[in-house]
Amino acid sequence: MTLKRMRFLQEVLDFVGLGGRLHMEWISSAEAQKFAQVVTDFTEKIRRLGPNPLHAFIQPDMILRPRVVAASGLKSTAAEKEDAKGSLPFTGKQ
Amino acid sequence: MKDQVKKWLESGTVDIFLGMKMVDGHPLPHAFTLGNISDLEELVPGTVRYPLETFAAELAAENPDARIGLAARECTQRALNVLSLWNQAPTDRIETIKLNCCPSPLKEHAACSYLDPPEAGLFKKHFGIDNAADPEAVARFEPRERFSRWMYEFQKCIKCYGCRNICPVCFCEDCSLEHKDLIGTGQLPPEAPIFHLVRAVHMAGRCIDCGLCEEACPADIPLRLLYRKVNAVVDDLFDYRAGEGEQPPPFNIIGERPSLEPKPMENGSACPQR
Amino acid sequence: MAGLAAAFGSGAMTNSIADIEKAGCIFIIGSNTTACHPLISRRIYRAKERGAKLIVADPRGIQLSRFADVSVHHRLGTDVALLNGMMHIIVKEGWHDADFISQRTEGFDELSQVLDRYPPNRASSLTGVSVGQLKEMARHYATYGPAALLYAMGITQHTTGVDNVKSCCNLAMLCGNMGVAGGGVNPLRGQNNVQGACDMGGLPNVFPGYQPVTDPEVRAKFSAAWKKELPAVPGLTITDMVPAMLEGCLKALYVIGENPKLSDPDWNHLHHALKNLDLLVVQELFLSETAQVADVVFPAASVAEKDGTFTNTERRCLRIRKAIEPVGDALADWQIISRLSSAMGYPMEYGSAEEIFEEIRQMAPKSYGGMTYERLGIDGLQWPCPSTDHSGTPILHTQTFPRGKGKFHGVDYQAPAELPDEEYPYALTTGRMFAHYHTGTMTRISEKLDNEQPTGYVSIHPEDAARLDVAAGDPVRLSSRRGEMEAPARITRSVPIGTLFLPIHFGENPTNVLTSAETFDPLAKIPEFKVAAVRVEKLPVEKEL
Ligand code: SF4
Ligand code: SF4
Repeated sequence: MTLKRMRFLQEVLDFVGLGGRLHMEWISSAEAQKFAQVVTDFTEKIRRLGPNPLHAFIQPDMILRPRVVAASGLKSTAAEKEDAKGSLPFTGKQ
Repeated sequence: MKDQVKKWLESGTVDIFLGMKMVDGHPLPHAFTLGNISDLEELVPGTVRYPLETFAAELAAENPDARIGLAARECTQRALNVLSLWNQAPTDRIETIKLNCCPSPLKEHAACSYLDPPEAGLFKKHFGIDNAADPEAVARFEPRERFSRWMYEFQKCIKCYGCRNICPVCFCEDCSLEHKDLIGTGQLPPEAPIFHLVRAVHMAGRCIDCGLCEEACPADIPLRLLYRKVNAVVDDLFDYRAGEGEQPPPFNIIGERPSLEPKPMENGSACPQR
Repeated sequence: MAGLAAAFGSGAMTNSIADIEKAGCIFIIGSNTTACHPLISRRIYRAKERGAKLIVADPRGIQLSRFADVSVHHRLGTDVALLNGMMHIIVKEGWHDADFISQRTEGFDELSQVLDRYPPNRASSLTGVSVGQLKEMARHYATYGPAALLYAMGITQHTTGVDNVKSCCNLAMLCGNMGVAGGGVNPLRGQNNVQGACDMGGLPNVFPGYQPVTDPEVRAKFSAAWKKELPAVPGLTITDMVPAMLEGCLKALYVIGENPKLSDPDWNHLHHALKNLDLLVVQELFLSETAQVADVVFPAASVAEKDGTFTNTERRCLRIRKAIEPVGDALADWQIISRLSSAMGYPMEYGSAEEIFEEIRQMAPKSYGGMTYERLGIDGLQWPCPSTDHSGTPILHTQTFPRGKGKFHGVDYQAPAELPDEEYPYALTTGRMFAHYHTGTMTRISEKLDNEQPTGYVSIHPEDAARLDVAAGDPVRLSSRRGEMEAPARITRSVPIGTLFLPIHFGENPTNVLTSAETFDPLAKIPEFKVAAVRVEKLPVEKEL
């Protein structure tokens, strides 16, 4: 059931364009190596996906709550800069 | 329909009948009773919709003996099924009169406010998501573009809660959309995309695809389309279709009970994971 | 109001809300529409998605800035310079509507002389908006017609409020945007019935239907109808009342549905003035800050408890219908006033709200004459509606202006009365946020809305916050020449560096302690709520338990 719920979330996220960023794997406490492998693979996958596109939508008029600040810093992020070059059709920024 | 309602009221089959009444050229929801039976003259089927089943559920809860009649579309019937599954409406005390609605190959003539949505403007087609598109068409956009289009739509939100308030199957006491740890408060638009994703996830297995939310949305966000996708995933994974049959969903995405307080989230998490 | 009246001869939204969808270009200045007039933003989105251009000029970053084709953040109080700069470019490029100007307007020469003084470089250095952006604003507004101009309190609540409005009118006339669908000059009014209150003579200088108190003929008409000789001198504006109270020549104040203790520009000043009164009567739904200090409070019925009409921002007169009997001792406003008047020796005997409406029809026939309760139905009618076969007027000034020709006013930029200096280095502006309404008397008692925004706050740019060593949520003290107050900090880049924003809704963080009552528009008497100079200090953080 948990697996299916996970699949559900993965598909919903994918539908709005945030696919590939959620992963679940059963690992027993004895499988240290598998754990290491899964984490490495997933990290690598995330890296390949590039910066979270959400960062491009951190808007100037947002309240900078601690969690937003943590996600973006106060300076523009790489994603924001990339986005300034117009890689996203719409970000709501001039 | 008028005659049947009259019969029902006079014979006591129902004590109250909920339908739309024409007032100064506008169909408005109205409770017809024996006391105001002359109002029946103004009872209209029409294309205009309102979740009368929400009223019916409330009336039924307030008056444990009352029998309630309802002008019901197909979506109304589906909503009643869902409400009954979650013990929100006593369907044994609710009688329905079927209205002509959703078109089908067998039934060409249909009457529903949703049938001719205004055509999406060019800008929206270019940067946003056409409300008339189907989920497959949206899925064909490349992921970054898909995300950007959804974010264009979500950022228009003015947090009016119209989508939730009109929804016939939204009945939780404590709404996760108002949960401060899930969605930050005090700013417009509400945090995107989490506000809309939380609502989408909570509609899984519940949304009966009536489209009222989308009609109510002042920002014309294609909400129905999003929830349609959510339910398609549910159908795929769990072989379950909301509003059909009498089985409760074989899964529970939103927690043990629908009104359960969601657990606070960790900082930095952008999506409802549990 | 005064600015619109000077330009056109009548003051109200010239077009309709639905009409905004037809615009080719929408220019929003000084209005955070999604937060303050959310359902008007629906029209803006629709127009935008259809392909209309959107220009947003606001000192702050607002939700609509995200969707704008041109979004500029001009310095506080530089609206006139911005508009003049745009018009300079429009005239120079020949984008103005020469036919409209010659046939429908006068005073163009006066305007063009002034515009000569606003070449792009100067306008840019005054406003902080780049020359390129200025040109884009001008080009969009002038060439994607019909262009609708929308503004709200960000334009009016300045010492130069009337000038700002006149400049808006200038711009619209310059491009021939008056009297056409999708165009117009559209002040968005904040309250459901503020237009109606003005229409009914809720201004010191006019009777219902904007008939001047100083006109002997008008006065004779009203004196005859009301069987009482009426005074020939206009009354006091609220801005004049406060000094009059302080001087002791105004002894009693009767406040209906207002909360001046929060909404008036200078809290300390007003506080003393109210103390000086012999009698303060407040008629309110709830015990507002002002009602708490009143000698007598009349409980008023809420909208669901009474019959009557409201006239909304688009001049649409709409019926309200009683749904429940008033709770407790509450009475409809008209009943309270009638009883009070009768007790004071002038019997007012109306049987119903409709009877009063019939009197309105008679006394303000040009605008309300053709309306009856039956005709209003659910949709209402838009004034002017002079006769019962008239279907109301969605767009004003299609043929002529009430004053004949539209008048251009040459308006020069004047700096706000108070600018930041060494002692008070920050510019403060005030405004509204979406979850609350005005002074919060009605919204802050709602659990849901309180959950949305429970306290006041002050928005600070992250760089200023870093300089002051203030983190999100830290309490800060703001002080101006008039007083000081505290509020938790909200860190956001929606305000420019050096500028602070305070929402006005919160009685425990009253913004009007800081703003000034001495600076107001000389004509409209609207105080400068939108600019004040303040100092910011970090307060020690209280440890949370
Ligand atoms: S379509 Fe919208 S309103 Fe209808 S059930 Fe689904 S979520 Fe609720
Ligand atoms: S109805 Fe539309 S604008 Fe209102 S809260 Fe829902 S999504 Fe947002």
